[in-house]
Amino acid sequence: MTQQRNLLIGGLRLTLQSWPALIWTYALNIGLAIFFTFPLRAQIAAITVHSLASQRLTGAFDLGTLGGVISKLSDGPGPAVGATYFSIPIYFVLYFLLVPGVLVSYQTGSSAQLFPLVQSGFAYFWRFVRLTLVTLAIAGPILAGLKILQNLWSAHLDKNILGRPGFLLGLAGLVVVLLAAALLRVYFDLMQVYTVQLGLKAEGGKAGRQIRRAFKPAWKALFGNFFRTYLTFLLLAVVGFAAVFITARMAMHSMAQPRVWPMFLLAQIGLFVSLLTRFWQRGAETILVLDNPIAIEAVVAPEPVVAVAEPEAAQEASSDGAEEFSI
Amino acid sequence: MPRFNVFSSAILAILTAAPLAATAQSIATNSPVPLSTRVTSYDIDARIDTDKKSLDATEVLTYKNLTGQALTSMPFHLYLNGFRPESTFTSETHFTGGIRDNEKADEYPKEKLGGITITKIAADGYGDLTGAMHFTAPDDGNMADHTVTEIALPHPLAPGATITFRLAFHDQFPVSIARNGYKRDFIMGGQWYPKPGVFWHGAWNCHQYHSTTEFFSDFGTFTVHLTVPQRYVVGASGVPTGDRANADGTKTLGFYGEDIGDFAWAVSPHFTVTDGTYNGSLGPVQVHVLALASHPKAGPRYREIIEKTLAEFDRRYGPYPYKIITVIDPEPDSQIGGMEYPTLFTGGTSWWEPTFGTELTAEHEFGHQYWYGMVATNEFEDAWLDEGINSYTEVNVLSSILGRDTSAFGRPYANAGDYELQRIEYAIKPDFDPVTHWAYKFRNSQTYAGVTYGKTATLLATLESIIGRDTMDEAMRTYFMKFRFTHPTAEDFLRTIEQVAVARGRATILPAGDAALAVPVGYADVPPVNSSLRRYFNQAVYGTQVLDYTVDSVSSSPVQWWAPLPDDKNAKKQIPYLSTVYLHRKGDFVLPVTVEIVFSDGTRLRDNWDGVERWTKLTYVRNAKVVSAEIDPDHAILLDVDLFNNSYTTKANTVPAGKLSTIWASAQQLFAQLLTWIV
Repeated sequence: MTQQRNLLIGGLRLTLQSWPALIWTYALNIGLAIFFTFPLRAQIAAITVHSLASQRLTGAFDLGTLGGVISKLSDGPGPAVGATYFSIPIYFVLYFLLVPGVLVSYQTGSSAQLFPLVQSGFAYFWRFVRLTLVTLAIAGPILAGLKILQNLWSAHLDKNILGRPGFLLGLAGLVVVLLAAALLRVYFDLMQVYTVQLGLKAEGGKAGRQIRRAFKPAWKALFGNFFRTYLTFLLLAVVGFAAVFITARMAMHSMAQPRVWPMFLLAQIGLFVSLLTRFWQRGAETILVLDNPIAIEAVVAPEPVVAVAEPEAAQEASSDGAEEFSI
Repeated sequence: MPRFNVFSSAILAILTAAPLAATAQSIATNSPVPLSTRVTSYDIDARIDTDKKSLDATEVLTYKNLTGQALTSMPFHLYLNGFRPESTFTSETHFTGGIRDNEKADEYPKEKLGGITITKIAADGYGDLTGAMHFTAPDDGNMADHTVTEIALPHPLAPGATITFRLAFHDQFPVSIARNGYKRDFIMGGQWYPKPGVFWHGAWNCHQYHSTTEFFSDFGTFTVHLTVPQRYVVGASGVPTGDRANADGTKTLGFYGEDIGDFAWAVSPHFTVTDGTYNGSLGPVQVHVLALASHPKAGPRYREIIEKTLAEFDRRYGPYPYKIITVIDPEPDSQIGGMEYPTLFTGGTSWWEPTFGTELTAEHEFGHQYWYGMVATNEFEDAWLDEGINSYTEVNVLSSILGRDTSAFGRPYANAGDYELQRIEYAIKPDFDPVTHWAYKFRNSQTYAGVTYGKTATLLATLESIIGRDTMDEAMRTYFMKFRFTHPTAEDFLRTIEQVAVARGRATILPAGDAALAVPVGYADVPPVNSSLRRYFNQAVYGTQVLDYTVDSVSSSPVQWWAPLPDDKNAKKQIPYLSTVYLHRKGDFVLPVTVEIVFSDGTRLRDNWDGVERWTKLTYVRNAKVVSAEIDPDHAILLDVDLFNNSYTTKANTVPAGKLSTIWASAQQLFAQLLTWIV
């Protein structure tokens, strides 16, 4: 008989128990952004630090002066602005490595320090690559279809309903797409958790590397606990985005202050809460998976006997952790 | 043809019966006498098909030959033919961009096809002239353009004689492009009827339609009847003269305008009316706003800003003589917003508009009533005299109404002044074209906009700092009052400023032979003044020189640099320092500048530099070090393309760099987090 633990509370507990994972992820998020923004900061400083004209960005936030800075930056030879974008793909790759470790930590209570997290990331790397490709292959067409419908809806509104009602109805169309995206996200999140659980239970066996074995349990877990799972996911997503929106707005209202730290602090609070709620979502999903564990026979089901012996090199590679590209 | 009720007919009979008693009160203006030399008189009856987005009309055009010479032909503008792939307008927008349209696709959309066809044209005493029409292309020889047609007259029109044309024409409106066409069930008739060119400076001036140009036409009277379905609300140039319902479910509305050079209309079933009245120095002016029902706040916003703008223009530049100004709120996402026509303009807003964009657009388009509408310069050849001067007056008027640093955006957490936006628009592409380039000869639409709007506004603001605000205001008022309804030229404008500045002692007459006088001089009614302002005009107006002054370095060292510094604090204050400030003229624009030096003891000194040499060194010996040096400490020379290098302070201020990099880094973090939702 499966348990029915509270997803919100249980998820929060897991998140807090593995707090170093959250802290490391946030540190990478902010660290990369600051590191790659540094050349841009130096370029802006070269324009503004010794200029009296920049005082209009000190005790005020004059958009004309800001425009002047942007204009000067675009005149300059430096690639500083372009360089800042590198922080995004690098963070993406690192996050990709961290997620499996986080899920392992959530399920086993193992250390959530950076090294074990990354180690797990490498162990599950190809499984998560395949999972991501499957996610894109399934979610992409569904969301593209919905986007087409939304565009048709927007075009219909554009012809017939304008102003505030038109905007709200258009927003409603977008919300429908986002709700569908959230449903897909929560399903594939559960697949990730089950994939890690498979790996843990199979203890290195081939079955543990086959992500297709996670499809059905994830489906059953989601639709067997649909409302509490989906609503928990949505609630946390809304809280995360609301935190970003509210703190960004507060930070915007502190732009005219002659100091930087209030704006910085407010923005970081929102970004941290956003990350926290995403980790919390994964914690809640892990609770659901732990309460609905994958059947042991699904993991250790006998493999078909292969008559031809595997080449020695392939066996070595397999024992080194390399994976087969089977779904 | 629709019939009118007795009241309307009586009014029209009175109006049109007149080589009228000159002192009779006009129903269209607050002036007891005609304001312009009325060359043309239009009587147009048009039936608008709101389903087919088309129009059929008859036009009776009376043209008075005041050119002083016999005319053997007459050119007509057919602007709607610009909305075809073969036209010069479309070619220019495709290859160099347009400020109203930017058709880059390889296929011309069907819905963007528009056109005007004269099905018949005859003239009293000249017979049927339909066969005498032929398209011409005076600007680029593109015979497929079809935006100008010329009619060879069978016999010349004698000087002082009048010719009456009788035309029938059909319009097909495109989906909204460049001020014209339809969007949803809204239709705008901007340049919708055959209009003759202007005989100007001894020749016909009738340019083709270009991607960056606007319009030029003679003054006259317009009697226009528009027939539309009854559910439609109509706004048009001139004053309404009555309406009547027709048996076929349509209605016919009459409009009359005088001393105007063009006529435009807009129809929509979704207009709501907001009216106001401004009591101007010549009489009351009705502010008639037709705002979309989906923009419930737009009506009051337009009315309020226009009433305030009317007051500012009346006070600064001269009276608004017409009895009405109609504001059209166009459909969202149309290319019809922000366009001026006589006594009517289109605004631009949305259902949620937290900036002053609504006010800025409305003020700007209203300002055209003065510079395009009444002064009526040739916008093909001197676009800056309309758009540029209007941008300058926009900055000043909005500064008065909304505040100098908040006239574009004013919130406690951020602000923007309109003057800064104009300056930045210019500074992006400062040196490709002079403001006096003909509008369609600019490098591209970006330099056209940056120079015509931004540079003119900025150079006039800088000129204001040179001759003083009062002198500049007086010059602008003199120019408007003297040249309204006359089609002046660039030199008329510049010489008027010189005249006023010399009279006020803010400029001097240069001796004959001064190199500054070697300027390109075009046609002008005002005789040459040859003032000291010519040096500025040559660079800022006729030239492409870039103004960029910088404080290169600031240093202070003890005069007795070899002597050890005393320990005593008071003794330190007695140490004389040799302070050096290097100034550098980086650009090729020469302008005398003022420099303010601030010392550590609080002393502020001002010096002047003529800027003739490329650099100069200022030295001071004082018992204090230099804290900062600033060129143009009053922040008046807005034409300087880089205001950051105008000053140097020894006190490093890292807050601006911190703020901007924090915003950027936080945005990067957010984007990175959002991207990871894929995983």
